[in-house]
Amino acid sequence: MKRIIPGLLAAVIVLAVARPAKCEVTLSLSLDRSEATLADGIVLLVSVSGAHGDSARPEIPGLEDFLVRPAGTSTRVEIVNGRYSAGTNFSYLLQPKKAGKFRIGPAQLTVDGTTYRSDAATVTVGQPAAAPAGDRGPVFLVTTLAPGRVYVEQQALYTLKLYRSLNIADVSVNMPEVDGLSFAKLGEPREYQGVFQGHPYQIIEVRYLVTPQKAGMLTVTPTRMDLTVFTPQNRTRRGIFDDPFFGQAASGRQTTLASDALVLQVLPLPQEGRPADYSGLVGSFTLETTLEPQQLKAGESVTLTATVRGRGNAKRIPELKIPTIDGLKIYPDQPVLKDETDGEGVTVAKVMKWALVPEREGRYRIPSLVMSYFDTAGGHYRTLKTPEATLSVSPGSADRAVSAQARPTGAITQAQPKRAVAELGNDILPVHAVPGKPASGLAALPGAAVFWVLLVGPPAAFFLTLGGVAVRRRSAGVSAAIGVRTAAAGFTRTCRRGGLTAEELLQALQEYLSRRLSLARGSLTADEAAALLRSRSVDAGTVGELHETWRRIEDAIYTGQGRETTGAGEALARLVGRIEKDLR
Amino acid sequence: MKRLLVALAIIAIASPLGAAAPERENILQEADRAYRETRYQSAYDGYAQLLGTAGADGHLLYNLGNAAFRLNQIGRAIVFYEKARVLLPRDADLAFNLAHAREQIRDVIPETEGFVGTAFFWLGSLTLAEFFWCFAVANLLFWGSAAARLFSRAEWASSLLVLLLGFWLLSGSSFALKWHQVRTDDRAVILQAEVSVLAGPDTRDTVLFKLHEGTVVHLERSEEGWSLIRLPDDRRGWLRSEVAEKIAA
Repeated sequence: MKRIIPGLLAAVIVLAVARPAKCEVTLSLSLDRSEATLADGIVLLVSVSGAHGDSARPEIPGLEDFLVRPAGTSTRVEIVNGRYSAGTNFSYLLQPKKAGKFRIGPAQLTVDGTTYRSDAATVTVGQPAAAPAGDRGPVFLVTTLAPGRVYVEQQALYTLKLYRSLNIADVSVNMPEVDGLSFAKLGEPREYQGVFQGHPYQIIEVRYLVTPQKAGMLTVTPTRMDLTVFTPQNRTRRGIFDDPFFGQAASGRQTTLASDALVLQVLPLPQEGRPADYSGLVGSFTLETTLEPQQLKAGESVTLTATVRGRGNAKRIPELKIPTIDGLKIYPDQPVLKDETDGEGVTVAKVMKWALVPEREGRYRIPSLVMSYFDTAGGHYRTLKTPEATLSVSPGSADRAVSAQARPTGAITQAQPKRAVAELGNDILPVHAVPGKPASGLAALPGAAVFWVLLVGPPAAFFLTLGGVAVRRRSAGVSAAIGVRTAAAGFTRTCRRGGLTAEELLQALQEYLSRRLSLARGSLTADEAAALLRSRSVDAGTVGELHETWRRIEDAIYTGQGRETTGAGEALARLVGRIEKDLR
Repeated sequence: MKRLLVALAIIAIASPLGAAAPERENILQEADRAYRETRYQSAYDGYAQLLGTAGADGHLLYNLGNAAFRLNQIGRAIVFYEKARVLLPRDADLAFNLAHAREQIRDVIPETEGFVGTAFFWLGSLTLAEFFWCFAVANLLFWGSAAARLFSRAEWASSLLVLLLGFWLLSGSSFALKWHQVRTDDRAVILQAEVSVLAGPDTRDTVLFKLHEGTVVHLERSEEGWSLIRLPDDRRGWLRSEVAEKIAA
């Protein structure tokens, strides 16, 4: 960076100090070679000084026999002895259309009313030398033409194959321009791998349908292909882009490939045996007709379809005609031409239809349809003829209505062939009967209040219920805790009141223990009470005393003294005091 | 009791509601007659008058669409058919006529369904109200069942609750999506034979493309008499607001 900044400053100072040269316009024209072949590209360079930009683009005569492609424009600035001059270089890539000696230039440029001219250059273009069969290089073109001998308007297949073992880009094809020969591309290019002279290549194949319009030996000039070829390069310096991630470094080189010239022998169509109705159709064709149904009622319609199918110059397929038939109205339909492209060419099918409407009952003879063409395989004219057809017409609907009434009930009728429902018209369906009242109830959204009640009400009700249940459970728990806390006090108060019978004392004891131990109300026995208290770590002696006292009270009850006053209450109150201490 | 019923009947007949019903019936009959007699403009005016007084009715909108179609106003016919489709999603006549009207449109613009439209393919088969009532029933059943579950721990109650939860989620999501679909419907229909869509809200702006009557576009926003529209293939541009009518009310 320290070196760059002084350099830039120096350049700015030089440009500021340097005086512009007097605005003198000069032109020079040069070619990169004076001899070339039809397969070569020639670089033409025109340098303009004293003028720049697009306005400085000169006119160059003598390029009529070349395909011209701009190859770039560059601006140049020159500083000599403190004087600078600016100019523009225009490059062109020339591709010769034919062999010969050509003079290019002089280039002309008009500035401020003055016309400046360059000198001219001459180039001699010869035929390309045949490439050695064993070495065609990494990229080359091969063309074939089949068959090599055709009749006028018979189609031939021109195949163009680009063999490559290097990467290419910017491909453009210049097809041959041959008088009396037309090219039509067949489908999309195909790309596949192949081997040539033992070397593997990537092959791009394009097919063209060639149609000769005149007889004679026609020379198909070479097809030219402009493209950029990328040649791999080995770098000596290693940088971050030498990493395999970035691929192998390659430099692009513009080049032009040319195929070999080919010869097509075009024979004229013979006069001998030419039918009078011959339309110029060349190729291989078939003709067939269908008539459905062949039985119908007067006034109904039947369709006659003729199909011409095959390969050849389809535009010459004649429009077939049906002669006038008495009692039969004929309505021709617009012919339909369909084509399908395959690797071998184009298969065509021309479908012609007529609607035939018999006016009255009877049998009608539909005559043959006739068509001629030149058969390229046999080398002679052929005439195609369809078989005659017969149309049976029964009486019209009025007569049929009478006969239908006369038919006995349950008679078996002949099954009619099934057909798809034909669409005869298209229209909208009629208006609806509108209900007397506008939509209401379930057909419409309810009012805001009902809407929100239905939407929020059920979950709100659920959560209220959930809350209620929770509160109830909580209050039950609180009550139980309060009961536990007050159980002993209540029992002691009862005992000290005195005058209790054995039954009353036992009942009070059971209630105390049930509340204190959070048990369901029931008749707790002495053994159960002792077990429960032991499990709650109450002193064994206390439990034993309680058990003993409990037994004595029970004995009193079972011996008929249950209604007599007992003095065990005071002892039990003391025992409960000890139990409470242990339970805490 | 008898006196009360008689009094109520008199009030009903004398009330404005009671008087409006025969008038509505008369307009309707006159519009239907006009349509049958191919006086389509009269039919259109009659149906439009009813729509203005009685509010949205699917059959009325359908009839308006038919009258507009007969008046060769394809764009307006499509607007009414689309409005009717919101209220009568399963009406076969409406589907047929809408398809027929769409066939008359010159522009070919494929409308994509999107993920929601494909996954919830039944959204177009029910109205918003129908989805609401389905959800309301599911809501009652689900929360009622959940409340019952607080008091009964039976296994069948748990299974029923899971089943109802599925129904509740499905109907709830369908209702929510339909609600969103209806409330955010930004579609509009081109009403003029040919409309230039410009790069900006100014007649001097570049014409980007042209649309034709009946084509459905999406309205993004409007300002000062201009609307920014978008096509399903994401092409956007401005046009005068009056040349397109929004389908949603």
